[in-house]
Amino acid sequence: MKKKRYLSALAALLWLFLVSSAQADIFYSVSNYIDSSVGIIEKNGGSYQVNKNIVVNLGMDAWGFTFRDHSGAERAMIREYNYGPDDMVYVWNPLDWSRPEVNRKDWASNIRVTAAEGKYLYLATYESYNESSAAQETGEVIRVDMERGYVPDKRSQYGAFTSGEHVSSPHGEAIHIQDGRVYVLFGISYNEGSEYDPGEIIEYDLELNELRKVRLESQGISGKNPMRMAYRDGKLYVACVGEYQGPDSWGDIWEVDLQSMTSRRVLDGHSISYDPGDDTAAVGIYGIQFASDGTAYILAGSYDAEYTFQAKLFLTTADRLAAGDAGTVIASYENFPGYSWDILYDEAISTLWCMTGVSLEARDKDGRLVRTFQPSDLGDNIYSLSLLRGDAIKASEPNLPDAPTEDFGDNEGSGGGGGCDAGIPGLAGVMALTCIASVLTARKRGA
Amino acid sequence: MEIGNPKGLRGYISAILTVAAASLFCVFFAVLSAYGAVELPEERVIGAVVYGEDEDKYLSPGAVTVIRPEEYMGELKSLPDLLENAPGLRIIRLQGRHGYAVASIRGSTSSQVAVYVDGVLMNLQSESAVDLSSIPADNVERVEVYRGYIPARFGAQAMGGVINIVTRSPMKPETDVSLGAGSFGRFKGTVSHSATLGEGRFFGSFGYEGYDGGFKYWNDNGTPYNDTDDYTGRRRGGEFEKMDLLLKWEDSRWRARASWVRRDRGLPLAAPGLDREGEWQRPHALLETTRFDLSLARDQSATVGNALIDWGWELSYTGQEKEYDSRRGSSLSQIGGMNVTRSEYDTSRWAASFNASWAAGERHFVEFLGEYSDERLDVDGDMVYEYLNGISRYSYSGLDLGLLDTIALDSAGSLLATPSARWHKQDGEDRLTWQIALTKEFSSAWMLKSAYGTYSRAPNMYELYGDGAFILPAARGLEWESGTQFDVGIIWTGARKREGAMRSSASLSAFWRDSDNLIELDMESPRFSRYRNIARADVRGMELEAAFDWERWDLSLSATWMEGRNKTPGEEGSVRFYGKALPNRPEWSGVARLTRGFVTAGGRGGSLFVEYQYVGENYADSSEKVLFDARNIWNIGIRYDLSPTTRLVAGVDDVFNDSDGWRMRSDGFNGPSRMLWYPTEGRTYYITLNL
Repeated sequence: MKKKRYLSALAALLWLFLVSSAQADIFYSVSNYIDSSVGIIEKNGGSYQVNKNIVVNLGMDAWGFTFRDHSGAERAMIREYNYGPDDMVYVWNPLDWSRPEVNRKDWASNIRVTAAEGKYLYLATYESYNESSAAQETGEVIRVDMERGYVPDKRSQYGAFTSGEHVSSPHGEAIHIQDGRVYVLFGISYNEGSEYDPGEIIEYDLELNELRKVRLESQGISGKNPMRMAYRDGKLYVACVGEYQGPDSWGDIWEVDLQSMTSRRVLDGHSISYDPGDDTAAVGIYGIQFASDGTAYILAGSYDAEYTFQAKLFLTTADRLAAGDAGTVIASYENFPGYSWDILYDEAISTLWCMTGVSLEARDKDGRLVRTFQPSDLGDNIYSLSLLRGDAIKASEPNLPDAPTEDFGDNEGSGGGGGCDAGIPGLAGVMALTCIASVLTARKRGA
Repeated sequence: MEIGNPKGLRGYISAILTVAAASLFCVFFAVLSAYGAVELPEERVIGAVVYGEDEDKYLSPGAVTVIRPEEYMGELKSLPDLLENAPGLRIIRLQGRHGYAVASIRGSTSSQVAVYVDGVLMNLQSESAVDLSSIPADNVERVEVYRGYIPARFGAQAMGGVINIVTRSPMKPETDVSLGAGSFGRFKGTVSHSATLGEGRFFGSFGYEGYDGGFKYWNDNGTPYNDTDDYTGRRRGGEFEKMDLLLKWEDSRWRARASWVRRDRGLPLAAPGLDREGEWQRPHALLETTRFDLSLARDQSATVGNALIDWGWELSYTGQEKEYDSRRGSSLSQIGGMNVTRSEYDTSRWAASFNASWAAGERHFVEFLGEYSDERLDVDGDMVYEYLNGISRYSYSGLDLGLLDTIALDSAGSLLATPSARWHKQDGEDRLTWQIALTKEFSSAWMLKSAYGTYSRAPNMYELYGDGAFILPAARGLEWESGTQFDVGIIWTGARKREGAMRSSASLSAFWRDSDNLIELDMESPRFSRYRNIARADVRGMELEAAFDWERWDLSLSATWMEGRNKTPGEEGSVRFYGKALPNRPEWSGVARLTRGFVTAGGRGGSLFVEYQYVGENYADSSEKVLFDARNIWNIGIRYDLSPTTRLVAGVDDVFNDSDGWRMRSDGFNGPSRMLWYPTEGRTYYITLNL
């Protein structure tokens, strides 16, 4: 045990030296649908260090988020959705993974996204929190006071409403805070979630008073089942899947002007399908991201009848997108298993992270594939990811568990997972020592 | 528990019709048997081995365990509880102690285990595996568990093993009544009657069992790092009502059987985070299952040349109706993750089999079995048009042929070789598999057994088309599973201490099995899953079984050591599992039971018993991250004969309330210790009166 702790401490110190040049990290969660765990990927120059299984046994359905708290310190959060009226929430200081600062279950149900502003953390949820055992069907936006111990102090539920001959249920999907305003994207569904009305964006003030609303509808066309949105130059761009996810779901991208709170469709999914007249060739939009220089990335795809995913990754510019041009295809995915599809652009390291079903890709700014992280590298199937700026980890010695950060016995057939597979000559020796420390550290079974 | 609904009424009507038809059935054959009785031939003898003597080890040239429920009479043990006494067999329980329970034999998947009741195959193509909790354990004379070598009389594809349940056939007229009650609203009543009918014997039984399942338990509120919000939860974990009816008639040639089982079960939600302090957790859906079986068989003999051939045939029909229904309108009431609130599955299965056996010369005894089965599945409910493209009917037909030869390799008949071949065809594909066993009887006390064989299993309709609630139809079809198995074991049998007493015995065996193209349930998200040929597994282990009888003491032991590893080659998404331990397969498990008989001053007999069950920690997931705690369960009880015909049994299960401390823990990683998804009720009390 002493030897193990010594070696792990040595590895941690060396890793501290190693990470001093790190620029940014990815905080991710993985799941094998029995268990979820979290990890961090660091990019150091041209190489990646994967620290998987930092915390395990987090339930079946754990999504990770990052934000800065009321003091400006970075925090990592997990929400575990238990298919009930309230999620389990964990908030960690990335300096100390031994125990979360917060572990509560009185916030929200099915948290989809978070955003922080000052001392408040805002959440958009798919369902509504309810103290009884029956969950409500519609989503809400919630404000949590981090300074007072992460206590929810305001809620605004978007309740069900009658629309024509049916009752529609709004569900929170995305959130963006800009200039003192909170913008929440709602998907509107009916018929037990099998059909959709046009999505909506509601503008709130920081006290969650509703100010304005805009529908993704214009000139007889509508954007349905919206899942993601990205901000650029006073506008929000919304990625819509279309109808219920499946082989005949035609999606699109909508532009919402936050000044006028008006919407227009900028990209029709038919325009990027190989056969716009064939419903089996339908594409939905699963992700949209912008770089600061105006480079835009679009992830479009659909599930076939057997629920494998066919997708394409497009590279364009914000201006071209506004004109309805999706640009060029930089990657294609055929018959990929898994249900985690999204893209996330990290400006600090000019990296486009792509969740591709069960794996994770790192691409450069031009979309070239740099590295693929298989489930064996990550610890399990990719489930969520968010950016960690890395400042907090560089600030002091990381407090990591004794368990090895690499599982060398499992790296059969993987694309490499950092550790012994270091790509920077200057760090090779350090990484080798980390390998040795990990190998000598026997994994213990629970007592 | 609601069973007075239209669906339940239909069930009752079917029960009445079944009883009426079965009664006429039995009477007809009883009358028929009065005509043309045939004298049975003498039993054939090869060497020193006598087939027909009640010696467990001769039931199969491979490993076999026989469990006699009478030894546990009055203890309110279910079939899964009884089966846990067999080495190499693991009961996997979902949703609590009285929930859905399936068997894994020597690390197999549950769909690889064939379950028979009085020769009728319980496995249906429309289900992944047999839910053992739905099979009545009353009126069972013995349960045979076959591992490794599968005798030819079991025609089903049983890669893992066979569980054969043989119900009682009392030799003398008698009427038995049993009433039992236990903690948390447990009640059980059974009445049975046997009588001479025509030239044969009739046996009938009716049983009712109910369980409220309302118990308290510690709930961490789903926040394992926060002790301040822990509370005492209350839940009805797996409440159910069950009724069963069995009618049998048999004579020297005919066997007629009819059974009807109705089970209504509440499906609980997972506890963490969903139960509420101060509220009783209600089931989120109801599962109603009605099953009836009819079978007719005839055994007879014929002389062909100088050979006497024993042959027979059997016809059987099985009908099962299964309905899932949620009772609330919220999202919690959905069944699984696909917006399904109601699904109904109606299955009908016909089967016809022919068997024959004959001595071919002085050293060969040949057995043959041919069986044809046809099954139809009708699906109704939310999922038909959502996920099955409007298709609501599926059918299956299969043909099995098996041939086995027991060959005496020496003149004394102490060395036997038993090769067998099985051929199975379905859906236009067929497979031929074979196995061979060697048995050497050194003396009446010592025997050596060894077996090797190949196995295969075709995907069933459930795996192909899903269940409409949680399991999607398989993508791009499924391939057959295949595997090989080898075992070797030594058996010791002691001398009979006194007339009528069981002989002490002990056996130790080692086994290896590997399986390819395993059809495993692949969780594709927390909401739904799909069967895929994604796995390859190697399992090795050892099994110990012993029973000792000394003075008034009886000791029985069974223990299993097993190591199962995932050996799936590098396939996208599954590389992470290579070399990992198979989930739900503990390395160590076992049961020990000690009984002490006594006689009171008034001449009344009885016994005290104590039982210890150990299930080692085992992984909940396939990535070796999360462990279920080991389980140490102590049960105690007393039997007391109030009169020669009346027995009182009382006892306590889980005396030390071990289940209250069961957790899911991270294995060597940083992470919390969490409560189980489905807590169990802990210490329970029971009392039973048998008349």
